[in-house]
Amino acid sequence: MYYKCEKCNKLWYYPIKNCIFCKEKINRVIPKSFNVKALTEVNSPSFGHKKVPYYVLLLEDEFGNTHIKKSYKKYGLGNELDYNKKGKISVSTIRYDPYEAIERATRLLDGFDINNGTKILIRIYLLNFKFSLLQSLVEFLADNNTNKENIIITYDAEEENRLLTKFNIDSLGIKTRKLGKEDLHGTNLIINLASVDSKKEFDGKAKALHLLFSTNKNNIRNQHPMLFASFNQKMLEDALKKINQDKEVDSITGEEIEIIKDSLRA
Amino acid sequence: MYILGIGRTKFGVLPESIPEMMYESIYKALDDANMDVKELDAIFVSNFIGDSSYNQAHLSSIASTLLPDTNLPSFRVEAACAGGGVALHLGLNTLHKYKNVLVIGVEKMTDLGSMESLRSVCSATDLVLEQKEGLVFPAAGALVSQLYMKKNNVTLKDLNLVALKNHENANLNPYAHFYGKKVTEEIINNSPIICSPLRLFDCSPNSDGAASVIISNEKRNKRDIKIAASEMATGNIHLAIENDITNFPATKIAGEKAYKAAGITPKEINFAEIHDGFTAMEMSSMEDLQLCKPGKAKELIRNGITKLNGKLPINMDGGLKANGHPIGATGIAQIYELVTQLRGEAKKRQVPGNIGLAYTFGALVGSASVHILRG
Repeated sequence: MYYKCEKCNKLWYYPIKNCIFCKEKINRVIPKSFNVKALTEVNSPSFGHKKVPYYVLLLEDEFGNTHIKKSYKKYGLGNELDYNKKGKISVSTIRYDPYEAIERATRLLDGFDINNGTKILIRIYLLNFKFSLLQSLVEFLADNNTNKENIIITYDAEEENRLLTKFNIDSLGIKTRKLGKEDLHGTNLIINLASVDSKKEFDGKAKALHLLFSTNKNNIRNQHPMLFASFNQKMLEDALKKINQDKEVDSITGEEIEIIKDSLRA
Repeated sequence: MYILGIGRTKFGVLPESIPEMMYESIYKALDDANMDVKELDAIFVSNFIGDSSYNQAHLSSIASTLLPDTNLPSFRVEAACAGGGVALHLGLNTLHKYKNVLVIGVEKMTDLGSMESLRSVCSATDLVLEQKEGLVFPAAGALVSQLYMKKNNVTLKDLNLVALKNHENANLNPYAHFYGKKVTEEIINNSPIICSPLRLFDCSPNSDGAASVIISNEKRNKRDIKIAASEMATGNIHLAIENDITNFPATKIAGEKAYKAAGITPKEINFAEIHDGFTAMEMSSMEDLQLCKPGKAKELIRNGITKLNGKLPINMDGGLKANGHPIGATGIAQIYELVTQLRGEAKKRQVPGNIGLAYTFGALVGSASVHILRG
């Protein structure tokens, strides 16, 4: 993902809201296809990248802009990355803009479908909570034709309300309240947003999208914080255990997660 | 030499990354100066722990990346907590070559955790002689405070008064780390002891934030503020080398040079931003800068002279104590406050006067910078 001022034709890879040259609002650009423009096989281990060899790819997107990506899979020059395969678990790295991770994690998840009439209940769990993720989730839902009136944010315990005030949750413009039993009915999509170490027992009866995020403080040996998405909580927890148990892997990339997911399926 | 534009982020626990905070402060400074990016000629960036804690060095190039296709000369400056002041000093010294210079200060600290932040910040002290002996930075501040208090009959209540004043001021500053948080003497007295005798409320917080200023030799409009003096002096990095750790030669020298350069006496200073990394340091620095006689800072504090409605307001923005201390940005934020005051744009925390001083130090006191601004 990157940010472009259409007027000045300037690009940023950092989340920028307004162009510093013309002051106009800037567009997010989400490329969908990538070709390998250059690559190198890395045989020297380093902190965070102890497992070698791995490949560093210079990718060119459909708009002609380039990106750096680590991969354990060997590609050839000109190869197109299979980057759009949907699955029962999807994983995305959280880089500068959490919006990017939410967009990718939901796009690559089987069965994720929202529209103007979708009634959405977002359940948040405040242990190691990342407000920026909630902010981006609401923004992403609004950008994808959902009606803000149809979204409710709920929390489990009354004391959590104080923390939410600290996060300035009112700035999201979404109804927020303590979870009531009635909230779980009449909702088309429940989204559970929690840290991977919240150890939250989700209500197994209701179908829900689980969005679990790791941070730099979590015990997952990844270089980037990551966002894991699935409608199947058991499968997601198994994947997370697998990642934590895999002592050989020092740096988890999206590609490695794909391999873990494959092994779980097998 | 003039300041044409200022910009800053809020200080505190922020979700934004280093580049995002830098961009916001640059954007606001350019907007404030009504200046086009293309008019900039060089960049200086102050940052302290980006490389040691986040492995993010080369912020000079990040600054350039934020201004696409400008390809300006850009320099990163590190002088511990004095970095912002030193970056401004260096930027001013290049105005013979560059017409308009952008000076940025930035720091990300709050997602480190207290162990890592203590480790990072004490990198400003000597590795072998101090860090290995457990001299985390609050411990250094505590040793200085103990001796200063003993020498001058300063009480813990006096330290509380410094903290209370700065928190009161921060409550009038929407950008401050502690804006909107009422602090009472009871809260201070019940706060944990970090390094005796210093309690939590005697120490400045870890903050995220960025601040920027644009400087030039040319005055462009009446809102531009004159820099009457910019001076820097150094001292020993190792606290124990000093015979007297209650007052510091580097501070005195930088101050004396600044008064001489500005052609004024200390009595002509109307208000000041003074590095209060620890409450006692605000008091000892006032003395080193000759804003009061040696040992007399406590009287100014007790009599409310340094409050917003006093004769010599100190730390109108809340100081490091309550405005916050994103280390690399702190010195630039002090300048931001002086410019805001001298323009008469400080609203509820506006104080009278047309000469302001900013002082910031790195370690105790290895680097000292003093700026005097005139409205």
